[in-house]
Amino acid sequence: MSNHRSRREFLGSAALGVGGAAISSILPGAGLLSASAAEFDDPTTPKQPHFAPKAKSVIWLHMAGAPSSLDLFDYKPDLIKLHGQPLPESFSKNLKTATDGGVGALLATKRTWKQYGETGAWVSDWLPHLSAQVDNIAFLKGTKTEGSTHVISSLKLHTSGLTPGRPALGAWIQYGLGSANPDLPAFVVLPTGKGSAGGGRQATIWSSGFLPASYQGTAFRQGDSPILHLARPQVVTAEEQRSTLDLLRSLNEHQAERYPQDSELQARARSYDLAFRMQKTAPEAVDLSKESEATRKLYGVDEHATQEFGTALLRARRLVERNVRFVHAISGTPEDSDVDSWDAHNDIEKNHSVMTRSVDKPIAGLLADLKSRGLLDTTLVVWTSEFGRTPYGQTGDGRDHNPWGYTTWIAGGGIKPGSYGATDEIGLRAVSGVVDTYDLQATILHQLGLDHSRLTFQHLGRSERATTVFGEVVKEIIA
Amino acid sequence: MLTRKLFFICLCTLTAGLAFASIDLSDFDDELMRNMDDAIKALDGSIGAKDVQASAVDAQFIAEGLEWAEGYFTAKGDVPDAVQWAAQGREFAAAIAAQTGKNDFDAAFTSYRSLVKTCRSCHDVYKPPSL
Repeated sequence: MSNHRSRREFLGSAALGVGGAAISSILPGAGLLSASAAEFDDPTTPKQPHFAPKAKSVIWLHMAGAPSSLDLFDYKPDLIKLHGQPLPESFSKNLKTATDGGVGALLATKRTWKQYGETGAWVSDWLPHLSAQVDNIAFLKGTKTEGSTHVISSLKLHTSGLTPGRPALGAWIQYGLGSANPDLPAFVVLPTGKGSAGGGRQATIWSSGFLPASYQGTAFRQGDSPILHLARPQVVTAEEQRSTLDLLRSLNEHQAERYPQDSELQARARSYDLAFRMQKTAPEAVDLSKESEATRKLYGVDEHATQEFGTALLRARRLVERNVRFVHAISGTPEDSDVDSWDAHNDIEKNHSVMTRSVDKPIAGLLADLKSRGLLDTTLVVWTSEFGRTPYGQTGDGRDHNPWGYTTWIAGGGIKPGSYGATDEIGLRAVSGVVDTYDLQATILHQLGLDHSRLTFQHLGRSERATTVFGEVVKEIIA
Repeated sequence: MLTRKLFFICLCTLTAGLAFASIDLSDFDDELMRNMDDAIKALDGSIGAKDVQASAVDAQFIAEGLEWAEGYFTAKGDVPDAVQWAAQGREFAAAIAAQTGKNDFDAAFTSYRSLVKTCRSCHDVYKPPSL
């Protein structure tokens, strides 16, 4: 029990009972954007950003399970030299671990490495297609986070919270900017693979949290019917459905006249209309038969290993072409694979060879395709995960979770290509250019024309932000 | 395969938290820290609302808490970084109170960002890890 006065007591004794709770929605600076759940906020209309944006959309590539930067982007010759030795104390000092599976000997990468492009970025032989795209990419090599389990760190990556209940970044963006296409959801989720609903990948990471429910991500299914229950039942004709909806609308409008403050009623009426419009627009938006053979090949849509993720990323391009604000693609593997995520606690060679093969060509294809269509300038492509993996081994041939230092990258949307930040000599901890997930979110919001410190929502008497009380824009990577 | 998985789960459980030694913070006032965390969030809104009184109360609460933390870490010894962070944080909290008192909320918000960064630096090293 604390010997100190609680904050409640403190506020009471200060004769300011309302304390920090009685805050208005105004934050420093002009052009504020703030609302509360009691106010109706139409998610299908566009809103003005705080300042001129560089990007219009985000394609968020979530590598679920945590890939090893040390085997993909973060080349560490010293780790190779120290292979088999215990982790030196100089590297582990003050390192906080929780559910680690023990600290094995240092484990060198078995990959071969080369520098690519004008930026000279290091990429391993596991990513032959992506290596040709490095001059479009800003590598954040000093990324760090909190937590050491997938669920907690995935929540932090996507919602800035360590427990469920906060809105995902995509929800905040839709709240801040509204929709640029009233016929499609502004925040779409594209899960892939059999493991896509597992730890750290469930709906809490695309939730609207305390924002109105209309801002949550809409998960699209594989196949030509992307939204569950969207298609009109076969026994109902289009005319019957239209007249039913017209009747419903007239009843809702009648009720709305009596209760003009009822925002839920207005939201529901709009959701019926959006669903009706999406019956046509959503299947068309993900219909890859309209794509050329060359484009399908670029993404690996017709190859077994890349079919699922390639399909998801080609859909993502079609969605941003239609002005969807935020597309969250989650990596998975084919149904017949015995690897279901990047979580390589053992046999990293097998795990990562399967995972890299499934994402390398689709991601490189996405970047090339966006660039050739002039869309990369206005689309942020973010490659990230809940954390990275340790330089020390686990179970002999795997790596444990590493929240202290790993690589994230961003391409397009006004971001300057190159490498920013670094981990230490063995790739354990971020030591320069440190970017926390709050900073990553603040930077993405900035490129979309939103000041993370001014995008607020009143919840339980508190002015909430996407980045909580943290977050700094990484100005060094802005073109 | 199952046996290997079970072995691994047991290994994880047994070794949880044992890998890297840290200083003993079991007597740290966690409740005070939680209250300060609330106050930090509230201060953000108080500055935003240009509420002089609420900002002063929140800033004072944080300053008192950091004064306690500074004393705690000083008594622990051999953690000069923690002592320095607590002292810096206290100075930022005092600056916020002074700046809001002069209705200079832009400056107060800048100090607030510095305060939050200072808290985070200390938490990175000394706050118990999240699972």
